[in-house]
Amino acid sequence: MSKYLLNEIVYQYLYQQAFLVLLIVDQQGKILDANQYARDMVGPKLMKTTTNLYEVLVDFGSLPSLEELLRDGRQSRMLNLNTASGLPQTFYFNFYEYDCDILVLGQLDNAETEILRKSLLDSNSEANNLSRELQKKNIQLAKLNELKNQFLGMAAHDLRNPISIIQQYSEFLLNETKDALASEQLDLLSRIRSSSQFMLHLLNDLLDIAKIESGKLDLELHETEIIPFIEANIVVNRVLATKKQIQLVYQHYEKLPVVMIDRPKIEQVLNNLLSNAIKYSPQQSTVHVSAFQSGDYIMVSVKDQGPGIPENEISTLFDAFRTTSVKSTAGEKSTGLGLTIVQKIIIGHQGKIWVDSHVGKGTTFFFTLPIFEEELKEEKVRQMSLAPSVIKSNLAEKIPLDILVVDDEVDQIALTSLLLEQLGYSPKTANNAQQALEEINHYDYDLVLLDIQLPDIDGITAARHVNQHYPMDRRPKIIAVTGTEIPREQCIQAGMDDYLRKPVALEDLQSVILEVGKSMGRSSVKSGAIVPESLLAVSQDDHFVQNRSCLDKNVINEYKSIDPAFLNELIDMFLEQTPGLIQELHEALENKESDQIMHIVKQIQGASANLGAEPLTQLCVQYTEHSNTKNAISEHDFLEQLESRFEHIAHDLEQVKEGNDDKNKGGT
Amino acid sequence: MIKEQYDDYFSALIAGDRAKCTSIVKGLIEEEVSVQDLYLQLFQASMYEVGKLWENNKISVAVEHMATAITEGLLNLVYPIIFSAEHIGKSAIITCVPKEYHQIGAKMVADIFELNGWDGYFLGANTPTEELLRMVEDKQPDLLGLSMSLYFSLGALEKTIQMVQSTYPQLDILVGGQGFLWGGRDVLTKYPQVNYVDSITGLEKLIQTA
Repeated sequence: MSKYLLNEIVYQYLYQQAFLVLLIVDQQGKILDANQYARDMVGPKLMKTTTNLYEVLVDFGSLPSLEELLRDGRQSRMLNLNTASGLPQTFYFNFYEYDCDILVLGQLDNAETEILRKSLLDSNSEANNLSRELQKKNIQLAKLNELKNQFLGMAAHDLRNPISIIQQYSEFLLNETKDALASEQLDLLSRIRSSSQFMLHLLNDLLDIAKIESGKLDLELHETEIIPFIEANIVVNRVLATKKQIQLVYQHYEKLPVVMIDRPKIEQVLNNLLSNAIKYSPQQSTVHVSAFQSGDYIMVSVKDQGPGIPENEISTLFDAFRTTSVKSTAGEKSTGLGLTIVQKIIIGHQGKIWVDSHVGKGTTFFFTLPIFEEELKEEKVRQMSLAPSVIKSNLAEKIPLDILVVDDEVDQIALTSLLLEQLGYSPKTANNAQQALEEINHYDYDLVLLDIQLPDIDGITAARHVNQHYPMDRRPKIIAVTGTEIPREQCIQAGMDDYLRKPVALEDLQSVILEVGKSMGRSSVKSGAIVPESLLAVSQDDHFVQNRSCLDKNVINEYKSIDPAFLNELIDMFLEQTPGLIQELHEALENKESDQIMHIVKQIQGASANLGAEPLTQLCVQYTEHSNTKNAISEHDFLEQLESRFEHIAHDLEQVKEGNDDKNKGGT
Repeated sequence: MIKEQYDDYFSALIAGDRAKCTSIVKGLIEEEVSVQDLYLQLFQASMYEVGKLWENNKISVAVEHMATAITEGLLNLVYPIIFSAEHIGKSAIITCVPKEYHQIGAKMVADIFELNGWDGYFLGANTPTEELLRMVEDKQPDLLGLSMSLYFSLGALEKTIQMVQSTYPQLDILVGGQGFLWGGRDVLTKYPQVNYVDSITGLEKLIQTA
């Protein structure tokens, strides 16, 4: 092969295919020719023949002149080319003079590129691995947070009862021992009372937060006239305000559209804002409340003339446990959770809440509630009209009773009377213990529903009095009605026959009346009110069959609000294990293993109590407590009732579970 | 659903069009395509195809690396679904043997464990044996997965198995990877507690019976 031919092949290769830059420039640097790679690399600039070499090089202000580059042209020089991709690329250039022109050759350092590639790949892999780990941890954290909320909810819930007992008993002690104790001791007692009150308040707030945080802010929206609704809340707070001689002024549009709100929750918002305003207001100042329409929203504001909130504290005002540096004017305490809850409730209503405050002048809280569209309102009305009407019963015909309802709260009397009327009774009423005792003295009542917290004499004392003054077979049956957690034993010791929790439910009243009727049937005290055993047995069964639910709704709802999945587990466990226990009980009874019998009954009792399955729990209690007395229920009857009650309860629990599942699905 | 989009996805992948690949995968996730299908029919299928093209000198190793990098990034889109699975209290550590840089297959294996309720810890490519032993000590896994994507890592794999078994003779070990296409499975039979898995489907079966 001739040398010429070889040169030609090499040149063609370099010109067409090689991955190196080849340029021919004149003495002024004007680019005369470029190979394919250089054209691809630099792009359109090289298509023009007028382009100068210095236009395609990256210039940091110290580019050497062509003469300089030529002087040591055999040595590689590092220079950067502006490439078509926008990223500069470093080439190692050599410059050779030939004829009158200059040959420029440039190549990449492959070793360098290789290092770059390796480290980019490595860091990409590493970043992705870290991202995987991070996402895994993130989701773990979210799950833990949910668990924390559940725990918070359960802890607050379980602490509430014992603390309310401390609070009530200290209250009771304070009232009862006013004259007997020294002032220092009374002071200690009142500290116990106020601390436990505060704790109760804190626990209620925590419970709210836990529910809201775990996404369980279930709003029950109802159409509400906002003007009187706010008015009612102002009235409640007026007592607090009057103590500090603070005036509450309410201004509003004459008429405002209806809003859809969860009333107790918005009440909580209003109470919080109003009591805060009163808390931080100086004596003899004014708190302004206003309500007006702003576009599609109702805007409510609560304005005080208090010390104002420093600007740097406003951004964290709604954060949990953030109390401000501002002191209340009468030493009122704060849990640091109130505004957090308020904010969450308002956001839950699709509203907004904000604050405007000036130190030394006062603070105004604003919140908005959306006005709902007419269609939506009509939709709701239709749904409401579909609500099932209460089924009336004629229990009074089967078990005629004279009933006295004693309560100092008018609403409570009205409610209990209404329920009794639905069962066909015409109860009499009394507002205090004195009046009740007079009624009992004058008239032969069969049943007294006695509130425990009465203004003059408390229910326990009143019941004791009745017991001491009337023989067992002449006195009415007394059922304690209580809004608080008073041990059943205490009521029984005071001579009461049973107790009901407020709010009293229709089912509860029915079962109490059935019990009363049953015992009257046995003792045959009152002429005309004797109920044959057989009828009672039937009505007892009917009671459990007809009743919509044998379950304590409060218990079920409490579980639902805290942890519906747990409720389902509990139900499953109960449904799975109880039939086995009943079977075991059969065997134990046959073999007369009394320890084993007690053990099994206690297990069933515990499991049913957990789920608020009252009829089953009561049956077990009756069996275990009276097994050695003359009131003992026969084994045969006990087993039969146990099985039938379990069947009904199982049915109700299945329904609860279905409802629970649907709700879960609907919520996602 | 994946089948119709596969060709578009694959051409975008080897063209380095990360944005287009991302939008296709996001669309599939929105249409609630199962993670298993996504892994098998899209990620695994396309990466196998990329590997074949490279082996047949149809694409350069640079393109292969780019496709891998894009695919790894796309796995991130699926993680919120994968890690939300209800956990059953079992865990597996998955890793590549020392000097192995092909990690994507092993990572997908760790993800499949997660999807089946296990904690799937992934240690990454080229994991030194000491680090692996430290993790085993720390996490006390129910299972160890070793990935071998190149046949010439067989020596390193055996060494790793020996080291692990000298400290944790009872630990179940799972091995797998493209490296076994060239043989090496017979070598494993002399190690007790070591099982070979040939595919993601086989792996899922194994997890569900474990």
